[in-house]
Amino acid sequence: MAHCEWFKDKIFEYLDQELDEETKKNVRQHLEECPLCAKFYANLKALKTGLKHIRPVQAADSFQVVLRERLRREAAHKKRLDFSSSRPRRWMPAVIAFGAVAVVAVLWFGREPVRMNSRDLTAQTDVSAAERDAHTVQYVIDDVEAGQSDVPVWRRTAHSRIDSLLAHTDTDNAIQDMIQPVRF
Amino acid sequence: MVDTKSQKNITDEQLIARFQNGDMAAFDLIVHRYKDPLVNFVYHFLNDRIDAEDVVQETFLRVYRNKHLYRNIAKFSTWIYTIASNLAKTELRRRRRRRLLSLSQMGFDDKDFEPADTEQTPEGIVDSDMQEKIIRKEIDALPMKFKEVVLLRDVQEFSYEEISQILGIPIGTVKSRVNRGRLRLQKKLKHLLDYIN
Repeated sequence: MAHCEWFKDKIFEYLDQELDEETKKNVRQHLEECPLCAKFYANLKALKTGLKHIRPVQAADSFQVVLRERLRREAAHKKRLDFSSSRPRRWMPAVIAFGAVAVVAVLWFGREPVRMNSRDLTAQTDVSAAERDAHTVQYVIDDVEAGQSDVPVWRRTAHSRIDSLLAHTDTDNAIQDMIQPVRF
Repeated sequence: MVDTKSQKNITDEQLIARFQNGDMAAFDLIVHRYKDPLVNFVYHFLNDRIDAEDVVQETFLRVYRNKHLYRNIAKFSTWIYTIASNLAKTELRRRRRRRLLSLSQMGFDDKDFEPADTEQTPEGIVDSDMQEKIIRKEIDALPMKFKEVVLLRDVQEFSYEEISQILGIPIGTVKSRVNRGRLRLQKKLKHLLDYIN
């Protein structure tokens, strides 16, 4: 019986023609000798034949026409999607250009009008220089007043001259004259 | 374009390569070759021709959309059967969910379960149409894991290696399932097989 169990496994492969010649010969010989295994093989073979000969279900005649229609519809749908998604991209450069022009226009027309001649510009430069020097003087004065009572009088009096220094805008020479005493 | 005379000599792999290069006639030829075997294969899962055709239509649409995904490392037939098999299983799962939902919505009195008649008598199997019906019924009654391998092996006649590729399972598992599926069918169809022999 154990012998037959081994052959039953081989019978499946024999049926599928997947055995080497030697094993095939052994199986064939066993089938001739064993009626139980022969019956088992005959039933399996009938089953395989029965399955193979089941009448196949076929696709309807309209199958390919329906498929073509579905493909056509899908292509049309895809085309619509592509068109709608590409539309913003086509208009994008124009929108960006318009936006850039609008920003420049707002900046240009929204600014304060500045009208200066070359003389004004020179004066403005002088004022800036005077202010800068005045600040230097101020820091020195603050330092003197904070902690040193024995600071020479000439240094302290410099503080009282700051206002006039700030108001002074004429020339660099005048400023230089006024701050000379407080430089170290 | 695919010449009509040489159509039969062109392999599936050559056809899909042509289709990948934009030859629509090659796609038509693929559809022509596979529509019937695929509908037949899917029909065994769904038992409804219209549903089977829908699944196969969807299979071809997937092939059309994803033609660039096919690589010539596997046979085209295993690729297209894999798609069809997966779609058929998805459809079955969808049906099962729908059935569960409708059962849960039924009242107690509405439930009418009729046990399937699995025993066949020799008197009822003389007619060949009847024989076919019986075989189909028993195939349908097989668990999915046995049904799909038996169909692929004994109806579609794929090799074990091809079935292994289609289903993504080892060859040893395919062989074991085919044999167990055949044994189950043999047991169920005992009277019929005795009659045929």
